Amino acid sequence: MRAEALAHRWATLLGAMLLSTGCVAERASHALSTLREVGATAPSLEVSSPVASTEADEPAFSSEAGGQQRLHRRRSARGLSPDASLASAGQAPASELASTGPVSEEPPSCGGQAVPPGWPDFSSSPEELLAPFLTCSSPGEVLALQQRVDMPRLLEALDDWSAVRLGALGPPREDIARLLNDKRTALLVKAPEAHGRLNAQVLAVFTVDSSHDDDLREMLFLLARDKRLEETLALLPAFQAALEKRGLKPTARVDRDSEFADLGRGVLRFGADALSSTSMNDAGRELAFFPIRGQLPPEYQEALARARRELVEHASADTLALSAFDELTFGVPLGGYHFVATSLHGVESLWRGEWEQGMREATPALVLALLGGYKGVRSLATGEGAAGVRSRLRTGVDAADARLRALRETARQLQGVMNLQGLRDLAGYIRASREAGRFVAAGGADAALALHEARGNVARARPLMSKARPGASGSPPSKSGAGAGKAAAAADEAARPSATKAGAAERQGTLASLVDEGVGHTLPVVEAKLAVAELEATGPRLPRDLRVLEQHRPFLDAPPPEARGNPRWREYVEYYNERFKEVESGTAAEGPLKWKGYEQLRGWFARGLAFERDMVRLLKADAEKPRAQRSLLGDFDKPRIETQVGVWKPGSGLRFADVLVIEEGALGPGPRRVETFSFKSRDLAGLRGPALETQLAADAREALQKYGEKLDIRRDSLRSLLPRGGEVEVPRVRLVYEGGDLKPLNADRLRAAVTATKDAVPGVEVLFQ
Amino acid sequence: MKVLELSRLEDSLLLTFDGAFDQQAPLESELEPLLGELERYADGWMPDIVEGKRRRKYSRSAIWKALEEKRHERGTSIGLYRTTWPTLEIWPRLDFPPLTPKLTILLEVQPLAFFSEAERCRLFVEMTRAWASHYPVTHAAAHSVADRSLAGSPDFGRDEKAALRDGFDKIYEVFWLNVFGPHLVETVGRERMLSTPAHRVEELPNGSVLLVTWPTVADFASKEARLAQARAHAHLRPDLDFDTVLRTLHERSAMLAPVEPRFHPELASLLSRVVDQAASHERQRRIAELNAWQPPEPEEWRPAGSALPPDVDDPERSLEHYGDLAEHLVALLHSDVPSVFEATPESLTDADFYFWREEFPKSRLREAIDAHAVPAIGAYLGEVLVRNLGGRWIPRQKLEEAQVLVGNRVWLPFLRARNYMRSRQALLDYSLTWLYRIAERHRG
Repeated sequence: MRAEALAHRWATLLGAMLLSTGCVAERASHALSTLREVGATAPSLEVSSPVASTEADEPAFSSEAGGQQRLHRRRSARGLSPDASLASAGQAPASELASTGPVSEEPPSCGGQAVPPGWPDFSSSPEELLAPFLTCSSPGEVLALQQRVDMPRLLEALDDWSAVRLGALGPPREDIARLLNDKRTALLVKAPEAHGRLNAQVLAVFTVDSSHDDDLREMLFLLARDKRLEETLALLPAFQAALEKRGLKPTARVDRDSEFADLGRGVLRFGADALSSTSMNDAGRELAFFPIRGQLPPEYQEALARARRELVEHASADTLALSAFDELTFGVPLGGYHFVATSLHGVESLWRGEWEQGMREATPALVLALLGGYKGVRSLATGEGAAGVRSRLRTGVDAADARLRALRETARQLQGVMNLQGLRDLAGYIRASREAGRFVAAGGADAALALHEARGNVARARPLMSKARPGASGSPPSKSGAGAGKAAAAADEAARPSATKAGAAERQGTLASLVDEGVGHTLPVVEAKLAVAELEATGPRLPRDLRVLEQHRPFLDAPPPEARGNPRWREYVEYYNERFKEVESGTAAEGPLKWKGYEQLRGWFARGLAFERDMVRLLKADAEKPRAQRSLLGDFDKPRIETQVGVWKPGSGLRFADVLVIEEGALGPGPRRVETFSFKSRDLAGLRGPALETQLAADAREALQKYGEKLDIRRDSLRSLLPRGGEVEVPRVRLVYEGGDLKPLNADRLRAAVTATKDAVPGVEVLFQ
Repeated sequence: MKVLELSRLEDSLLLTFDGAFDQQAPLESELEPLLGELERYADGWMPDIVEGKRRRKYSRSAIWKALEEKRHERGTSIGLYRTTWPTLEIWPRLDFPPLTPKLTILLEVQPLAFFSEAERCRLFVEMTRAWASHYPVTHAAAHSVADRSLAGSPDFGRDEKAALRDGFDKIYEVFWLNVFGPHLVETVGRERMLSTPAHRVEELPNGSVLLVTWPTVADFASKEARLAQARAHAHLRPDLDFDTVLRTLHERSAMLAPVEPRFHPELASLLSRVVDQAASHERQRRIAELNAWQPPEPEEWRPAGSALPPDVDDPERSLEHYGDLAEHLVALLHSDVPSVFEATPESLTDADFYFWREEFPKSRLREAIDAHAVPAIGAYLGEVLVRNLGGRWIPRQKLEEAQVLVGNRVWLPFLRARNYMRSRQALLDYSLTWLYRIAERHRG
């Protein structure tokens, strides 16, 4: 009873936040504190528990299709914060490490093992310097550990091969990328002489396989700059083949002023004998290579052994070596090798098993799952309850077992949401750039999905992703009475500071009340829209300067006077801290909004959604009318109205058009007509002429850029209507503003501004409702 | 350098000028007449601020900088303003190729009464004449903003699409000051146009015709000025009936004639604020409407004798609950309506106005209003009755049945809140202020 009454109170407060455009009174803080206490004793209020919501999410994950639903899945795949359930005794949650967040007070650790005391001692051996990284169990952890040490010095202290190994563990911090590529390049140049051509080739292939495309381009540049490119390609045909497989054309860069043809320079440098393919007879070099060989992933060792056998039997090293290495490069993205080979026994056997069973199709998913560092594996908890898992995770064997199942599950989920081509594309996107690598390493499977949605464009993926990040939003409420969920929530209770949880619940509640499925405003869409609105908010921001951000960091318990008692303050603090982390890891496009701007953003956001909803209804009503009577859709024979349609453009990436109208009726001679609508709620009433013009033109340019001209429609159900797999030419974008009191009072001034916009941005029609 | 803002409370003089410029000539020399004539004829309303991306003191170089700052691939536009009375906005805009080169100017001086003197008006006409002589116009017109709005400018009864496409392509209206471009002159016939009965009719060297109906603009709504306006209009549009034209003008004058507010005394504070939100051309009409409007008697009450008895187990908890709900309204409104902290009767009027101004019932999600706003408003209304009129809550399980006993009536604040949030008009018909006043009256 009591809990219900309080729940009602809670809901009302959330409503106040939703409706508010201002902040909340001092007096309200009393109510808030009450609620916080209540939160601890009323499990039914704990809607924010990630594990609790698993059940509710599950159906969305497996049964729906289409662009929006993918968002659904992404949320689900995110698992929100599975880390808690995966954290075994003494292990830091993966996300904590992977988040590359602010440096914590605890000593650094990886894979549950604390780094040796005194590490990194830059005078110690490369092996010792590298060792803690090798205990990591995901690239995300590797990335996080990098944040905790002086990486430039550490990398400087590594020999070339150790540097290549480090690079194979996961994407490097951006500031050491160049140094790493220097070392990789140095290895390529020195290896033929140091290890013989055959061994050098396997190292070269491994180096290529463990580098991002942008690394490879940089290495090619470095080689060409030092006039070593032609020689290296000639000495290491497998290197060239591996590069070409990655879509690079190394020969295009060959140093044009090279005085030497083919092997000429190499022969001069090393002497012909040194380059003999049969250099395995050279015992000294073989001995030196022995430890390196042992450090290669098993597939590479096997390929090398195969190549050797062929060489002995046929004495034709180059071509055979090529074919031996051929099977290696099946498109596994970075970091996978190491983790497959070393992190968990079970993973290797799983890997091997699928490989041997000819299920190569499964492996990219498996590796992607590994890359995501087990994030996205919430379903691990289903059926047994997170608390149960946690206690079982206390033993190492169980931990490994749980991880293995988690991994398999993630791989399965990934396969569920993407076809093989999708997985391959995704692997390609991750391989393409370090930035993408870091994005996925830190963000897990849902980052991978966001990246896929954004077709590899990290900048576009980020807002899609940010909504899915814990703290940026909550999860949908769980069904009450879900036993496992409740248990998990209760278990979570102890594990997490209640403030964080209350904050998440609060925000989730606020957003949940904006949901209107009828017009396409599902929770994921609302969240995505808010993320985009934030990105585009024009309010004053703090710079992306950690020092300044640290200075201005807001504290939950110390709101400024104007925010005192405002329930959104909590939300703001969370938002700020999230953004701080992103700035720290170099992934933030903008600094955080200042408090006032954030408040304004949220106020207008609610109003904008309401307007959009009205407009969708109005358009739907217009579509029902006979053609001659339609006010907006007269150009269509039979208009079909779709809301929140994912559309993709090269410049702007994936965006959601508020409304997309497509001709469903009789086709004329031309292509199927498609128009898009963008709705805006802005107070234009008080603007002077030039400011009005500037605003309209900016909105029109944006609408045209995102929803106009040539669009690629991503929604499957619509793609089938279109001849060229979703590509359409949009002849007209309509930008509709909320009218009434928001509209400029003077019609002559408004007309002048609309005319100016029409002149400046053809292809967009500006309307006021 | 605080620029004065145009206000919606007063009428102003608005000039629209649609012309062309010579894009072959250097821009600075091409714009020289525009600025030179402005400086020469602006009588007490010369701009002192130029705004491009940045704001600068008025000077030629500031203008060139501003034009450059705001330049985009197809044009540029800037703003000229004043920091002292009267208020001014000049918004010149240039279209460059690939568009047809165009010079569009919007010029507004507020208040309109500033142009009561014939000499100041004459100088304004001279400036426009000089501009129109240099930059070939299709149409230019200066007139009261309010009367322009009533005339339906710029659509003049056409649908927006057609108006946007065709512009001012025939004599839809004759204003105080008009420049008709050669095309418009043709539609009427040059001879006929030049013989229009008016204060001033003059053929410009480039074939346009300048027409001024009356020596001053501030008294445009006077009988005499309207007569002159109707004569000119009917002359230029022989298809129109003179009497109809004149009657329409008089109707417009009537709509703009100052109306003395005689609002219901207990709601005057709310209604005068509502009126202040209206555009200048609607203001007097709004006053007249609200003078006539009477608030319906509140229906959300029962005689004390037939009050529903409390049906909750724990009345204390219910009261606490109402208190919390009321706090949510405080939370919602306090930054816009600080008086809600005090829970005074006046705060109800502030809240009424806030919801009206925000068009709250329409501009927020209905579900959110019903689920959150209505309970908070009802509870707050109840609390104000309790605190200021010595009322007493009679709690009920259903919010809508919860009552506040004041004197010999029980009031149903949550029911009132529901009626109140139905529409923007309902905010007035079911105002919180009015319920409070009636409750006060029946306190006994």
